Amino acid sequence: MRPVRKKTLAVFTAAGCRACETALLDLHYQVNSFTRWADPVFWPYVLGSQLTDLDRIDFIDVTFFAGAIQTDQDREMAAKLRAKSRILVALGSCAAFGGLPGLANLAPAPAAGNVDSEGPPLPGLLEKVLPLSAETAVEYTVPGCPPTEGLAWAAFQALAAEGQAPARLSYTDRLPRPMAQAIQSGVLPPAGGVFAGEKAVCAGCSRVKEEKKFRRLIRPFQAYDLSGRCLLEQGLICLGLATREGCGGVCTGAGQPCRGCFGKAEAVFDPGAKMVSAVASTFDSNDRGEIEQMSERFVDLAGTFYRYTLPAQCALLAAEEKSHAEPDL
Amino acid sequence: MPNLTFEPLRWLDEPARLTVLENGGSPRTFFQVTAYRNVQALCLGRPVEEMPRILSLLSPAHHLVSALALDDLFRVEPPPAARNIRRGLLQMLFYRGHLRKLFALLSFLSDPFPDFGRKTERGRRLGVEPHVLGGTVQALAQAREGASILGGRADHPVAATAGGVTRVLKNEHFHRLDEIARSCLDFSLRLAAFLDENIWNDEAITHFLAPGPAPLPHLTWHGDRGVLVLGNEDEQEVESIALSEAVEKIGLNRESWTRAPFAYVRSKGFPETLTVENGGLYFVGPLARLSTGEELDTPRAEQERQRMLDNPGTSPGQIPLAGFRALVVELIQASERMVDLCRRERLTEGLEIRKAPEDWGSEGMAALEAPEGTIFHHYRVDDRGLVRALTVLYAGIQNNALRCRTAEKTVLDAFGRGLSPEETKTRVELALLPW
Repeated sequence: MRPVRKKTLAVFTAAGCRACETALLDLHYQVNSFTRWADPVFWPYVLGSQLTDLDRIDFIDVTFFAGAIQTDQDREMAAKLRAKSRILVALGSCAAFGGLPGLANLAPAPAAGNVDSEGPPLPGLLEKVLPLSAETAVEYTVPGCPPTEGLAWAAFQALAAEGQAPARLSYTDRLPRPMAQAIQSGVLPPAGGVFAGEKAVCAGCSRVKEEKKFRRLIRPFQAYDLSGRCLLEQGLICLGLATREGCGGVCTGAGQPCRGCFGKAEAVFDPGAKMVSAVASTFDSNDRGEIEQMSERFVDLAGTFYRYTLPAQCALLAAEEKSHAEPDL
Repeated sequence: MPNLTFEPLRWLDEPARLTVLENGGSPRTFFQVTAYRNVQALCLGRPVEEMPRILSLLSPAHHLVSALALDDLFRVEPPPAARNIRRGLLQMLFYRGHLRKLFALLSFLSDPFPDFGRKTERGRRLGVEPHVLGGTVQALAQAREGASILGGRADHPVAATAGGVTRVLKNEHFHRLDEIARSCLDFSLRLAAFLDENIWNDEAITHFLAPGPAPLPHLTWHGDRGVLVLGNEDEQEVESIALSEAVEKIGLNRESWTRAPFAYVRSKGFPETLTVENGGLYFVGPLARLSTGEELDTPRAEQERQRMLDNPGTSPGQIPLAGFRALVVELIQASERMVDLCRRERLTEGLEIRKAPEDWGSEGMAALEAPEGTIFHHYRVDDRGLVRALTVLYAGIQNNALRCRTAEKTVLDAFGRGLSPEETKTRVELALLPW
């Protein structure tokens, strides 16, 4: 085993919850200690690092950035961490695509902020919630709400441990072959990589697919077969067809339709367009009246098809991604 | 004394900072939440059945209270097995939520990454030995596994829905859940004993737990009576609010200097000075529940509660040490309840896990005692079942006043003792942790 230089590590969350950071912390304690390979130097949630501490850090090997960009301060932190980091990773759906906070983009823009406040000024609110990639170049993405243990570990293994951490979770069968091979060889995967599969969730979903046809559209509060049969075939809107695999069908396995937290599958241009096409080709009727009746049952298409991905992957509304460069070895 | 800013604050879920302004010798403190939760923007216009999956962003327990609100809106009663699965999930969330805070307490003086001789910037290695932290994390992992089995996912559960749950449990799950529950109970009792022997009376630790602010009234949900009860520090009921009146009787006041509003009971009014008068302000959480003075329904937890009451200086009052001890009491209670619920016969009672609705009303509401405190959801929908109005009370806004007061008291106490900014920050973070 060749010696591994300890990597400096930063973890930061902008707007969102703490599930992604917790997922990372759990890896340290439950899978394999980080500190053989990485030295956390900036981690406000766990170490109590202050934002101003970042000014005293010259260089960070790997930064895991979670949360969406909602305020001026989030934007500033994204820029600072980008400037100091060799590798910047969008961790979780909020950083990768905007996540649930991104649904706010369907509502009117928020108020300007604290005018004439008696206290210290608050960070300004942006007009729209943005993914990290709209603010700055990102080398890698680990999607999910939160990311699964296996894929989060794959990212740590690849980027900090150079493939040498002894713990082996079953992630390689969910990753594209070039990425899995890179991790196992101890080289960096190609920049722009997503730590998830390339196919759609359907490929890994445990439900039985018989004939991709349905005759009635139902909503999740209505009665359906909780185990066994494909949810789309039962008439539920399930985004598995348009969503990148890697989670192993966690939600569909629990009897709930997929809502797309891993982002669009590799071959999909726009998840909403893909779903419209999927439903149109799956609905088993050529009768105009029946088709109209079915269409009337659709509700909140934007909020459903882009539940986690509106700021990044709705083709009509998405912010432009900043391009990434190959990380400097 | 110069102006100070601590940003962000460790272990807080919301982005927040504490600013201390020198103010000519009379320091003013501002505990500011710096970003909105945007609950309204996320939920208005969404199908109401999606609320459990969207609102779990606030905390996993919001998934469960949302399902209860859907039961109300869709006028459906979940079958017994579904209710037990939901209750079992709630106990796993209690266990996980409380143990995570206790882990933060145990690790605050230790280096969170203690392997390979890594030294802290502070240059000292006090506090709890790594194997204790390791055992705590193992218990956390087991609770996470249990929550995943029952809820589909642990951090953002998906299984609870209108009329029951959608998670079909397999044979192997029942045995594993029973194992997890018993292991969690065993660990919680050992942890309670460890804390008793090594932490509660250890000056090196308790030095960092500052005195708390003057008592605030507390709010708790009494499901058996269907009311929210406002109580005082003398265990007296001050006001009871029927669930159907909650939206009308509990208000939210916004201050220009923070993005989190302050919940208050309207009949008592919002005080002119936030950190002096109570008005209708209140707090929620484990200490609020214990402050009702009611005996607990599980024996080991009740014993721990009595030990807490018998220990001078830690009887329920809003001091941080009492807040942490309340977490331990409820940790034991949650694990005792888990043992009772995570038995095959409880999780398969009647075999049915969901009763699909056949009708819906125009509004639904529910309250729940979550790990972080009383939470409440109210939805109003149109004829297509889309959310047109909602009210969500979460712990952050109900404890906002307490957090402001706690931060102020801790800072003033620290300055009075001549403590460094670093130590002041640590004390503030610890003081805020139970809330």
